Order: sequence, then C-alpha cells, then structure tokens
Amino acid sequence: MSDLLSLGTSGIQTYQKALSTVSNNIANLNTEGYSRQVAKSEETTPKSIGSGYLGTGSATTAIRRQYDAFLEDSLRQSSSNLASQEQLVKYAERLVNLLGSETVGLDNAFDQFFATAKELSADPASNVLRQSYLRDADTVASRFRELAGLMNEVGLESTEEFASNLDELNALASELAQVNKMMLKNASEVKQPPQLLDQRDLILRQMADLIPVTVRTNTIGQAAVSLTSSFNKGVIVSGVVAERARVDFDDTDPGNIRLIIEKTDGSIDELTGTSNGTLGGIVQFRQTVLDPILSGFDALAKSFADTLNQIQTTGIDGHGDFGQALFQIDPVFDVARDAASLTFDTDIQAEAGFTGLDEPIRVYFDELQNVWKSVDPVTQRPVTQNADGDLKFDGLTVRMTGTARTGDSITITSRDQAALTIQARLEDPLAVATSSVFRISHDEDNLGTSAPRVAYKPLPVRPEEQLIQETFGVTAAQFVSANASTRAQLGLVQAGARDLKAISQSSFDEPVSLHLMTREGVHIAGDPLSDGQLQALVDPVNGFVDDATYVGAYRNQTSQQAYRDLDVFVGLRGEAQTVDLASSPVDPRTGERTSVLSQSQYSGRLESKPLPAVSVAPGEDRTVIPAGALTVNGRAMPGLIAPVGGENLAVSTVVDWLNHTGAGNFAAAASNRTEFELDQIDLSSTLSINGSIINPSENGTVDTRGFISMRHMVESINAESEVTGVEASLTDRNSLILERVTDPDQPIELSSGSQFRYRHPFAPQQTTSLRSQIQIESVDPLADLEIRLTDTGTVQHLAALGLNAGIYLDGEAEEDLLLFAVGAGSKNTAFELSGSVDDPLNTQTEIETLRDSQFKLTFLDEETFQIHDLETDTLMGTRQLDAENLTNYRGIELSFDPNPRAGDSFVVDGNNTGPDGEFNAFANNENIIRVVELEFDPNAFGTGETIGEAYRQLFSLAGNRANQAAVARDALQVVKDQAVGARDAVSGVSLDEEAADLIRFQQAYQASAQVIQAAQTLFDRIISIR
Amino acid sequence: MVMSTQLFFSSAVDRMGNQQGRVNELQTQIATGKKVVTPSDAPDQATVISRLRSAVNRQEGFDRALTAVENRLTAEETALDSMQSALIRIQELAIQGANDTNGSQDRQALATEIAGLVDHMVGLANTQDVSGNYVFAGSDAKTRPYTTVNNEIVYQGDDVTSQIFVSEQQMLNLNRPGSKMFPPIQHSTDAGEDNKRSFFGALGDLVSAMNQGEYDGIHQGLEDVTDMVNSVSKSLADVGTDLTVVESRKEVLNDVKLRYQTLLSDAQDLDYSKAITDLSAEMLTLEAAQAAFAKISGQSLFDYIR
Repeated sequence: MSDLLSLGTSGIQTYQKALSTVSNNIANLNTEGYSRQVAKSEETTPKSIGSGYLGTGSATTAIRRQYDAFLEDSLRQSSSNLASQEQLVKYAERLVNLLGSETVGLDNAFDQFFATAKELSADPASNVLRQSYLRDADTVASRFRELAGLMNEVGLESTEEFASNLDELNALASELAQVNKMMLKNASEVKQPPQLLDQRDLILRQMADLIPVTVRTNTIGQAAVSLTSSFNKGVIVSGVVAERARVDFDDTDPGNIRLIIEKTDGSIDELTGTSNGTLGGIVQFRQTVLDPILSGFDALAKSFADTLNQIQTTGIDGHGDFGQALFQIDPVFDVARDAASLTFDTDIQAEAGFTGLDEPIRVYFDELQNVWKSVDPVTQRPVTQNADGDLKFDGLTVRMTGTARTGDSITITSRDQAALTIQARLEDPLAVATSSVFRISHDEDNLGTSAPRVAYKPLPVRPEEQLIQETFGVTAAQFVSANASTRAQLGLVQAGARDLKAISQSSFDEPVSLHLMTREGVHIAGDPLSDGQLQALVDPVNGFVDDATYVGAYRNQTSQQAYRDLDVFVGLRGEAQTVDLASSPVDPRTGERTSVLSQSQYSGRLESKPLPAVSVAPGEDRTVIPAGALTVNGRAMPGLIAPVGGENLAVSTVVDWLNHTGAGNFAAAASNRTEFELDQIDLSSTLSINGSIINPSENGTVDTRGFISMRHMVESINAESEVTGVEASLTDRNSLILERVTDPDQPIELSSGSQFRYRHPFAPQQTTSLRSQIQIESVDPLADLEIRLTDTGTVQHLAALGLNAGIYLDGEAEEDLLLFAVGAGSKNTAFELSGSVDDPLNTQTEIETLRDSQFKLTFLDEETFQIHDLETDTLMGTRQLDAENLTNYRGIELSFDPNPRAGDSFVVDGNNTGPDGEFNAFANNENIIRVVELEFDPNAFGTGETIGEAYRQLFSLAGNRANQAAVARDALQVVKDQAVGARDAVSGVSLDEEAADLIRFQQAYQASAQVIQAAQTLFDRIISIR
Repeated sequence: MVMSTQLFFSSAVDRMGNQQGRVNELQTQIATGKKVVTPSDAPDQATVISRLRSAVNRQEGFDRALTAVENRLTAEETALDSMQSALIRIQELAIQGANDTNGSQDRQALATEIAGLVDHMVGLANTQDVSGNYVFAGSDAKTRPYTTVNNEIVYQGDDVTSQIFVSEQQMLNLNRPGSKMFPPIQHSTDAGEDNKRSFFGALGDLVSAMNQGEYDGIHQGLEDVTDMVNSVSKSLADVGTDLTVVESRKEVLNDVKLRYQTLLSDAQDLDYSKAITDLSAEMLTLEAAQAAFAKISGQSLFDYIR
C-alpha cells in the first residue's frame, strides 16, 4: 500500500520550496535585475502494485529563473539605440541654445554692426559713428570668440563624459569577468545560482546602455562580450579575462575619436563606426554636429574677417591712407615633438598680422654647437638660436627653453581657428576706411552734362606675368636667353621696380633691339618699329590692355620731352668709378708700416667689341650712322660715311670721327688686344703672327714640335715684336694677352705658318684675323661716358661701332612697363638684366603710386578720351568707352552717363587734393557703402547667402539634427518600452501573481499536511484496534 | 500580458513626470509670453524668428538712413528757398539799375544791396548740417566750399554725390555738390562760341557793372540772374522731387516693417487663450493621472487575503 505519510511529506516539502520561491520573489520585488523564479515540481516514480501503479508523491526538480535570452537581447539592443539618441539630443540642443540665444548669438551682433555701417554711410565724417562702427566690429569679433569658446566647452564636456563612461564600461567588464569566474564552479548553466545569472544579465544591460554589445554565452553560462558584431575583433570580455578600452581624441578634428581596446596579450584593436549607446551618441554628436558646426563657424568667421579686411584695405581712411585690416585672426600653433626628450619647452610668439605657416617649420638641436637650428620656410635662410634662446623667423619668434639632448627636434605647424581668435584690431576712429580710393571731378567749362563715376576695381594679375616679374625682381642680375625670332617678351617691369638696366648682345648684321612700353601702348624707349612689327607687338597677348593705342611721341626722349619726365637712357653707358687703394708704405722716420688709403678715379669708359666688317656696295647710300642719330656725352655726332668702293670701314676712320667731335670732352683710341684663357691654348701648334714665323726651326720653316711651355711661347712672340708689332703677356688670372702695340688700328693676323698645318695655338683654324677695337673715355675723370641713341638712332648704329645697346631706367617705374626684344632672324641672344623691386607682387604699391598722380581725361569725341598725367602733361594712353560706357584704367573703373561731349575733360585724383596733398574726402562714403551692401548681398561671402543666413544655416543644422534625434528618440523609446514590457512579462515579479501563488501553494501545503494527518489518523485507528 | 509591480510603478511615475513637464512648459510660455522659450524647443521656428528679427532690424536701419536723407534735403531746400528769394530781389534791383534814369549814386546804392544779398547767398551756399558738414561741398565736407580767393568766390568742394541705401534695392542721393546746384552760367557770344562764368563770379560781375555803370554788364548780369533763378528753381524742384521720393519710400518702409513685425509676432508671440486652455487641459490630465494612480496603486490582492 502506498505510503500516505511519505506522500504527504513529499507534498509538504514540494510546497515548502514553492512557498519559499514565492516569498523570495516577493522579497526581491524591488531588486534591480532580479528575475522571477518558479519552483518546478514533478511526480516521483510510481510504484507497481500488479494491478497498476501507485503514485509516490512529488518532488521539486528545479527552481527556474523566468528568462528569455531573445527578449534580453532585444532589450539590450533597444536600450543601446535609445541611449545614443538621448545623448545626441542632449548635446545638439545645447548648441542650438547657444547659437540661437538672443544674448550670445551672432545674429543680432551682425544686425547691429550693419545698422551702424548704414548710419555711418549717411555721415562718414562723424567720429562718433566711426567709433560706434569699431565698437560693433569688436562686438561681432568677441561674440565669435565667446560662441566658439562655449561650443568648444560643450565639446570638452562631451569628451569628459565619454571618458567617464568608458571607465564605467571598463569597470563593468571586470565585474563581468568576476561573475564569469564564479561560474566556473558549476558544470552547466542551469546549475548556476540564479542570482549569478541575474547579475550577469544586469551587467550586460548596463554595458549595452553605454555601447552596443554582442553577447555569446557558453554552456556554463559565462558571457563573452564583443564591442563589434563579431568575435574576431573588439572582444572586451572573454571568459575570465576583461580587456581595457581607452580613447584618443584629436585636438584638431572633433569628429576624430579613436576607441582602442588594449589587450592583455599586448595587441590592439581599433574600433570604428561606434554610433550607438551613450558612447556612440557622443561620437555621433561630435561627428555630425560639433565638427561641421565648428568648422562652418570658423569658415564663417574667416570669410567675414577676410571680406571686411578686403573692403577696409581697398578704401581710404580718415588719415588719407589705405585702411588697415579691421580684423585679425591669429594662427594657433601645434608643436609636435619628433624626439622623446621632454626636458625642453617651446614658446611661440607671432607678430601682429602673421597669418600662419604654409609649410611646417622643423627645429632641430645641434649638439655640436649646443644651439637649436632651423630653416625659415619663407625665405629659405638658415635660422640659429640667439643668445636669448630665440629663433627668429619671418614674423615669428620661437623660444626654446630647458635642456635639449642629441637628436631632439620639433615640428611646428599652424592652423586657423578663426572663430576662436578673431579680433577687431583698430581703435582709432579715423582708421575706418569709409572713402573710396579715387575721385572724379568734371571741369567747370564742360559743355556736356555727364555724371562720371569712379570705382577701384583691381585688374586680375596674369600668372605668367607674375613669373617673369618674380625672377626679375628677386635676382639682382641674370642673363636671360630668349628666342628673338621676331619679338620676345622679356618680362614685366612691375610698378615700383627701380634702376632697371637691360642690355642686349647685338651684332651689326643681326641687331636685336630692346623696347620699353607701357601697357597702354606708349613707346618709351627702343628703335623705331614698322607698322607690321607694331601690329604684332601691341596685342593683349603681350600684356597690353585690350584697347591699347600705340603712342610713339615719347620714344627715346629725355627730360621734359620724356614720358612722364622719366629718366630713361637708351644707348650704352660707361660709369666713372672710384676705386679705393690701400697701401702700407714704411714711414722713413719711425721705420713702421702705416696704412694709407688713397682713391683712384677712373673716368667712364667703353670698350668696343672688334669692329664688324662694314662696307657699302658702290652706288648705295654710304651713310653708316646718320648725323644726329647718336650723342656722345651730350654732343650730337655727325654722320659716319663708309669709304667709296666697298671697302670696310677702317678703325682709324671711326676713331677720327669720334675724336673730331669729342675734343676736350671724350677721346677715342684704337686698340687691338685679345685675352685668351690658358687652357684654350694648344702649345703643340705652330704659330705665325702678321706673316712672321714665331717658332722657326733651324731651316727657317715652322718647328713642328710647337712650344715647350707657355713662357716659351710668350718669350718667342715678344722676341718677334719688333717685326710683328705684337706683344704677349701672361696675367695672374690664367690667361694670356695678345696686344698690337704698334699701329693698334691694324689687325693681328694669326696663322699656323704652314700650309700643311690646320691650326695655330689660339684657334682650331689655319688663319685668324683679330680685328681692332675702339676705346672711348671721358676726359673728365669723374664723368660717365654716355652714348645715347636719339629717336633717329638704332641699335644697328651702335653695333657698327662694336657696341651693345641697352635701356637704363634711373629711379622708379610708376606703372607696369613691358620689356621686349625685337630682332631679325631666329637665334638666341643673351640679355643682361638688372633692377630691383622692393616688394614683388604687391599691387598696393602700384595703387599707391597711382593715387599720388592726377589724371586728366580729355574726350576727343563722345567715346574716345585721352589720359594725361596732370603733373608732367604726358599722354599716357587713349581709351574708348565700351557699350556700357565703362572702361578700366589700371584698376580705376570709369563710367560716364550720359556720354560726355567732345572737348569735355575730367580729373581723376586719389581723394588727396587738400593742401600739401592731404586727404579731403571726409564725406565720401563709397567704401562704407560696400560694407552696407554686404548685409544683403548673397554673393558677398562666397557662400551664396548673406552672412546672417549663413549663420542661421549653421544654427538650423544643429537644430535639424536635434530635431531628427528627438524624433528618433521618441520612436526608440516606444521600442524600448515594448522590449521592457516583453521582458517584464516573463521575468518581472507581479505582487498579485505572487499573492495568488502564495494562496495556491499554501492551500496545497495545508492539504498535504492534512494527508499526513490522515495518515496519522489511519495509523491511530489501526493501532487502536484491539 | 502580465505586468510586474515594479514596472507598473515606474511607468506610472514616468508618465506623471512627463505630464508635469508639459504643464511646466506651458507655464513658462505663459510667463514669458513667447511661443519658443529656448531655441531648442523648436529649432526651425527659432531660425524663422531670428530671420524676421534681422529683417525688422534692417528696416529700422533703412528708416534711419531715410531720416538722414530727409534732414539733408530739408537743409538744402531751406537754403535754396532763401537763395531764390535773394535772387528775385537781385533781379528787381538789377532791373532798377538797368534803368537809365538812375544816377551813379543810386546805382551804387543798388550795387551795395546786391553785394549784401550775394554775401547772404554765399553764406547759404556754405550751409552746414547738424554734424558740421558743409551741405554743398561734395565729399570735401570739412572744407568751406565757397571762399574768396583773389576777390573771386571760388568753389573749393568736389563733384562727388554720395548715395546711400534706403532699401535693399534702392539708393538715394545723400548730397548735391555746389558744382551741380549752382552751375556756371553759360554765355553765348556773338561768335557762336560757348563760354562759361561761375555762378558767384557772374553775380560779382553784376555788382561791379552796377558800381561802374556799365550797361552792357548790367544787361548781361540781368540775363545771368534770370538763368540763375531758373537753375536754382530747377535745383529746388530736384530737391523737392527727392523729398517726395523719401516720403513715399518711408511709407513703403513702414508697411514692410509692419509686415515683418506681424510675421515676427505670429512666429514668436504666444496665443494666450490657446495656451491657457491647453494648460487647463494638461493640468486636468495630470490631476486625473495622479488620482487614478492613487486609487490603483492601493489595490493589492494581499488586501483581500484575510
């Protein structure tokens, strides 16, 4: 018979356990992470009694956690997603509130600035308004700085939060590893204490809040966690090992966040694309909100500063000068230590107006000299640390302190943080450039009623011109080889260039002439040009303005007749020289050497090349140089006539011709002197000079062995000089000079002296004739020698005398000049160029010189006008108005409405016609009007929208992002609520449910107790049977 | 679906918290009178508000510019008006002087009066505005435009007419230089050639002709004065036209400003009746939620197990 007692006991035991499970559930009602537990009971194995089976009661088989891995996983995922959007909303809204704030926001600062500009445009002479304008500019700059600072602070906070969240993640990871370790005691997951499993799941949920996790559990319930979607990479907890995650932020790029897992085995996993969880939310914020807004804000500040500076610097301030930049943006320097040594410090000071480094500067430690050294990236010049410890660069001082070690070096780079560093730098109210650069006035006697307008619109500089200009300006003297087939543009002589000297190597047969012209087509210097040449030359391709008209009236003229009274000299100049001679004679009284400095004067002299062979065929015009084509030291030269009968022009004729005019002023003499470099001389050759054999053998013919030595040759030549008239001498510069001392106007005939030998020592030729040259010298020892070409003179005339020709511009070029070479044939010719430009590529210099001149515009008819320089009354060009009645003269844009009448004249000046050239256009508002226009000009800042709109765009970028994130957050909140509900339905503890269970189990327990009592009663009954 | 007790409590608290938040939001709106209290409440709306606020500010700037033009024009009009009266008086005096019946003393007396009137006119041509700028000096506003050089009244200003923006599209002349307002007088000679005499130079000529009794000069002067009356009238008309433009521009501007302000108010200002209604509704919801919570949360099966 079945054991009632044990049946009852088993029931009691089962329900006792069930009751404690329910009680435990109730006790843990508010325990975070607790999963409801349920006691599972089963029927114990029944006993066979032949006719069937009798039950033996029940037993508790397990106490189960109510848990669904799938629901747990989706909860983790949804909480990751929600957390990221919450972060994004939180941070984006802070930016929105900063940018959109009425007090810190920039929009009303802009409004105020432009309102003041408008007021100033109505009364530009008012110092009070100028002061307000500067104050409002300062407000804009400081708002930029404040906002950038506050936004950077938000960025900094987000990095701090990121770091602290990461610490939390690391703590959770070690906790999880600890839990995993405790699980080792049990052989399977179901055997694990539920409390341990709850703890595991809670940790995982907390991790998922921070960052999305992929979880894998093994048979004993240990959880492995990866921060990526796979376990190949990003594993942070594996078994009992927890890895450490750390983060690197980039100072220069807020969106660049490197999340790195440093593994215990030493390897490194770098994670990318973290976009969910609290951490991912911060990454998203920095990448999609903070980074674009900060860089957009910087760009805004930069374009605002640049645009206003451009206007300010192309206008005239209250002092009458070009305006100074209104805003300054200081570059931020980054110093990278290339070497590990940390015992030194670097301090960088930039000069005001320093705009940043185009290239990095590398500073290295020179251990031999114990100083820091570098190379200036702009000037390429070496820079060495001075006694104060400073390295001085162009606009930059780098101070190195502390001790350096061998191999130490740093690299300095700079970047703009425009919004953070923008500053208004002007304080003087007069420094506001309200006025335009130029002004136009009409003549009172004009009959037309034209209202002219003038604006400063600098013409674009052509890049190819800049190139020439740069090499020209930087190099003091250089030879340029150019193909002079018909013409060659040698380059642009930039306005402001000084002391130009250009000389062409020319020959009589193929003369190459140099020409100096203005962009307007005024021929300043050079040979007369044919119509065909002019047509080819005066073309915009060659740097002329579009409607340049050729003007030849000023060509080769001097002083008052010259173009704008320029000091231009065409011809060739031998400069007088003063040479200091130092000697140290012995004082006869003291016997000591004393140092005496004496000066030696050398008058200006010119030495010609060997005269070319000039002959004129019989019957042709024998004039080689027409009368008046040349002046020598101011004396006009008479005509030079070639001999009758086709003979060559003799040197003596030329010398006589020169000396005839030059009496008392300059003197000419023939000379025949040639210098040979020693290594060009072939000693093994034979030599005959002027028909006399120099090295005869015993039988009187040439000695085929040549010369033994250089000295031998010199002595041999000099031994024959009585006969040949030629002397040789050696110099101390490794050369040998052959000079005809008697009859120097005659040639030196060199030959091998034998019809069988094909070279002589000086040239690989059988015979060579060295022709005479001419030396011309000023009589006055202090005077230059100047051979000038007049307007009838040509380069060929000088070439007939064996001389090169050139153009000299003494003083400063006030406008751009074009230099050309014109020649016949196709060949390379060498040019000698020198000159200097103080500040190459500076358009400001040109406009300054332009302002200092006044121009008179005289209309020839309704469209054509001439431009005269008022000071020198020089015709500078002729212009035609275009269809819109516009023209641009060197950056001065002129417009007339309606067309003037013939004879009307206008004067353009630089707004500085007050007494002593002072500024007097206080009420001119044309430049400040340009600022007013900026407010509503959508193209002013190159962004396609006004500055206010550009700012609002940034603001709405943050706003839209915050909006999107908020919408996503609300949607994800629902998802998460659902996931929480679903998990809760399985694992949550409901008091009502527990109460019902409690009653159910209690009743069952009581019933089981009744069974025992029944057994007792039965037993008692049986016992009591007597 | 089963709901755990913990979740029941926490979600009820969350919901009441949210409700409380909405009530608070409405309360702040009512307190500030603004629809958008912080820009993050409605970033799109905040952009519109900022844009409209800028537009209103810009119109106010134009308003000030118009006032500046108006002041300038009024100053010019006053000066020109007085000049015209002076010229008409000179004309009368010159007609008297041209009469042969006058003796030299009479003419000199007339000349003296004309000279006085010319001085008065020079004074008017040198009118200054409130900031001390010479009205008729062009851009050279710090220099007295009409001064005596070698006994001749010479114009020292320049030709510049400054313009200022009075709307995004329209510019108006701020000043008119003396060279345009008081242009030289054109003389046609018998030879048919044109030549010119400066405005005040011609008046000077008239004075000396009257003094000297040169009838040719007086007649020429009379002709010149007639020309001057005409040109000053023309200048007056020009100024008057500009003033009319300013007036109409002001009206347009006020309309534009009003429109922007209305839009701004629509975007920015709170609809109180709606806000207050909303507030009561939200409060009601909150109270209901609280009452319901109090009731339901007290319910537990344990209460019934006795």
